Amino acid sequence: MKRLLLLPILALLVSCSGLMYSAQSFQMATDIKAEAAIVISHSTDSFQRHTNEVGLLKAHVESAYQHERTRKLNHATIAMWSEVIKSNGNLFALLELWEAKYRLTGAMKVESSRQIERLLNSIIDLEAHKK
Amino acid sequence: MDIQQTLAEIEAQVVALASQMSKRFRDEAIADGRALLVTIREDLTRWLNLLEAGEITADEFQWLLNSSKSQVKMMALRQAGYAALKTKKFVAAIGDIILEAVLKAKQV
Repeated sequence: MKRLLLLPILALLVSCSGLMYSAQSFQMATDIKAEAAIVISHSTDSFQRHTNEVGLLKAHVESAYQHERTRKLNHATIAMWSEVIKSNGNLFALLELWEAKYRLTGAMKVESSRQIERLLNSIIDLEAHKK
Repeated sequence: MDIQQTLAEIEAQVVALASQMSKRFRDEAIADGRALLVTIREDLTRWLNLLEAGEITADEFQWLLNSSKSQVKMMALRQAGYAALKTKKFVAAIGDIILEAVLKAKQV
């Protein structure tokens, strides 16, 4: 009987594992935010000079997205990374705009950097709340 | 471009997203949404001035505008995440109560 009672407790703990804080997830998100700030700081230059660093940044975001997909009950974080990749007002769309327009204006560099920081902070804040 | 109309659209989006949440977290989400709207209002005014001064292009302005909408969506997702965390803490507390009761029964 006692063993039967322990089973649902264990099941509950396992099912909530995706809502536990992950130092790796937090680090990935903060690293990407820092990396994005550096890449965007170059956006007044010709895109062609920065294709490698843009490619690396995109790969890191994809990697973070895939990592989050492996965690159970992690719908909000997964959806936020998806937004970073797919939304027409988020990081990937900004990098595509830079590529299409060859270079961005100085004012856009400042404004978009602030926006991307705010957007990525949503992911970081949620992970920090899992502590 | 009509800033008031754009803000009204964004505000409607915030309220619609918040209304999808359980009542317990709705008020909190709406409060966060309203705070975000203040920031967005300031941003839109600044971006419009930059556009009119020719300091940003129309395409850049469009991305910035879209980024505000993305911000609203990310805020709603973060709120949904917070709600799930609160539920998790509630479930864990129940687990503790059951475990304590089981351990107590074992001692008897």
